[in-house]
Amino acid sequence: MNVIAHSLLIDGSFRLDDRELLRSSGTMEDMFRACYKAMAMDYPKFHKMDAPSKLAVLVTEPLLQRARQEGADLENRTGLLGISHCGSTVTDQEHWDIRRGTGLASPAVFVYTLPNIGLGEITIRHRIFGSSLCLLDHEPKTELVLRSIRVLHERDRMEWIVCLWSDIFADRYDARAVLLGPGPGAPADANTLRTLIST
Amino acid sequence: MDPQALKQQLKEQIITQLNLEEVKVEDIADDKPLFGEGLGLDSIDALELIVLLERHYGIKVTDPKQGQTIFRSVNTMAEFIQSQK
Repeated sequence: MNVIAHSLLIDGSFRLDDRELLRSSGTMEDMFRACYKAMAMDYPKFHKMDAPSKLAVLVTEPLLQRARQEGADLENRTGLLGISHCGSTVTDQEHWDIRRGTGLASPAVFVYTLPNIGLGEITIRHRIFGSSLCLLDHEPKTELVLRSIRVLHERDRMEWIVCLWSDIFADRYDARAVLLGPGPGAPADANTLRTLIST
Repeated sequence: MDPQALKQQLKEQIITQLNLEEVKVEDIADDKPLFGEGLGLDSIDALELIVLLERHYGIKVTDPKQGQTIFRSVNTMAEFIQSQK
């Protein structure tokens, strides 16, 4: 498999391949809203998502648009690999704060208290029914990433794979994603992946 | 509270509580269905509306079947709230 495209959303900068799509000095929510508008997503469900899901959806959006343009079978032959350190911690905390403050849980917050929910939102948005893997680790370790990609590609027959590192803690966010596929591009080997998704 | 003021308040609370960022108060007609072809709310939104009634009006909806009637529109929500006083 080769690297077809890659994206990065971190510290007020949103990049696709080597081009900056957007820069903002506002808050995390300001940045997410600006990215949503810049990509003309027209997806009201986005506003109901928690911050980790928004981050995952935003950073993968241009890659999956690209995959669609390249003729990828998003429904059946596209897999997702998601890696995070903090997972849904910020939303778990929000859920706890709401319960402590009002005595009543918010169902709309509670449904996001799962570390793999961002991957779920990506699959809903793009109607992806292929395999997905969610890993929690301190950082995206290249050997584990490669092993997981092999599982998705060789065992599950995924022709296209989006590999995603996304992490939010407090108001700090860091997301890097890579689209792998059969088209021309740098080979998806350890060196390339280390460069593109290592934190 | 005046029924019209209550409906206005409900619309504002629905937009805030359900994060309907692209919806304005004037987009929600009093008799517009909240689910299905109306505002397009989903099952999680229905649960959130139940919490909204409890949090803001102190009303507990204990029978989920009641929800289909209560949450049909802003009109039906306002009527239900006033009937509980």
